[in-house]
Amino acid sequence: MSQELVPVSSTTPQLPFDIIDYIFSFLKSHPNALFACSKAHPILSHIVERYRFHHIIIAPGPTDFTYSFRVSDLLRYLSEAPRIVNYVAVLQVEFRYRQDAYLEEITSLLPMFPMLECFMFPARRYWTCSALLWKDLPQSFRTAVETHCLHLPTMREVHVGNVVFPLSTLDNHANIDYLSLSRSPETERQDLETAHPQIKSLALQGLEHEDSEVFRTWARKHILELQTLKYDFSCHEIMLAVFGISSNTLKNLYLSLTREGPGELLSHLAYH
Amino acid sequence: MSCYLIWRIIKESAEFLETEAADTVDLSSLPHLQHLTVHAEVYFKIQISGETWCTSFLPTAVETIKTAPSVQELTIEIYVDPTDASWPDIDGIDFSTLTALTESPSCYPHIDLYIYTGSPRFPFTRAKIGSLLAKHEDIVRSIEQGVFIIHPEEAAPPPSPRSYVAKEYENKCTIM
Repeated sequence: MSQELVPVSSTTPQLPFDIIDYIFSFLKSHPNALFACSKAHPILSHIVERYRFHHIIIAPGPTDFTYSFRVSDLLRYLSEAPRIVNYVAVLQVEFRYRQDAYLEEITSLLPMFPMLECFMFPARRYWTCSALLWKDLPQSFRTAVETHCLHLPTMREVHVGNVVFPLSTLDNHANIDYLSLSRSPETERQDLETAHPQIKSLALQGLEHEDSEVFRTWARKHILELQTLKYDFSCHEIMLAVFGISSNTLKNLYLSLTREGPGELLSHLAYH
Repeated sequence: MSCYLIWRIIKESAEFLETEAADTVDLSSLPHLQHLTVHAEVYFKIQISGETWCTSFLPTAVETIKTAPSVQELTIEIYVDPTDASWPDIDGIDFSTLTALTESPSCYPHIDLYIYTGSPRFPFTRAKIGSLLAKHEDIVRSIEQGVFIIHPEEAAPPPSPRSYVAKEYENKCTIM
């Protein structure tokens, strides 16, 4: 353990660097708290930095999330502080519509993060937007995702939001054992002889009756060792299919009973 | 408003009404379940008459839990959404269905109960939850015995400790 001491305040004893560092590691999911800590003392700012950038959002416009960046802003920021690329573990790329120019801009950013553990594109389903087809997104963006992000040895978690995505793309990446899906996967020819990597944790949100056949075809080969399921507002047929395939392995279940999908739509209607 | 959006609203609303009227989920086919978390939403709507109408998925949640084989850890997360009513009748929320979980044969050794609104206007403090549950003797006794563990104004942890949760955000401009 390092013997370097960090002054917490003028009235409290100094604490070893490693202890302070360990405490801050628990705040990775609370970027606003970390940001406040970083302002308290220059030394704390230095320690906090690698946790502050743990989870960042790339968005086409400004948002209220502290670590949300437009592409040009992030490129400028990284050129000033290139070490930050090593601290980013969760990259959340947000887009609701086909925004080719924006996604092509992102292409240059994606290979910069060598320590990604989780990739979200986008993070969730948008009930007021139609699904985007993966094959309709710019080729450069798709290539960057497949060859850089998913290919990283550190990558283990993928969240597919408003995109109809070919899940066979994940077959070459055995490290990925957590999948969050908010749209039906893309229909693909299934090779019965291929050994498929098994998803250990699955999150499903908003899958509908018409998605069930495609989903089941995929699930029969990929969730044979499923241990954890998070199930939000999707059709019963799909849930029963998951239960049927994973009944002997499923240990953790999170079941959401809400009106989320249509609730969002109805709020949208009321707003307009 | 696009045709797509209108179509979605009609379709989803119809499906929603069907869903709302249903549906206990049968978990009896999962013999190896160790940790069950059920998230139940409670929300309010203002009727044309001006009265506030409360809908709760809590009874469905409890019925669902009762179908599960014995689990080692049970977590109930109650999200009370106050946003659609200017003055939601939080005191009127019916928690009586939770008493079913204190009775034999359910009798869970440990139940984590998370209740939150996420709204600073209507926070579920420990005192608030205590006053709402005070009329249910079985639940109060279970809290005293440490069976029910109350987590005021807090969301349950994700089911997979390793998994990441997407950050929610608001756009600062209309078009993104």
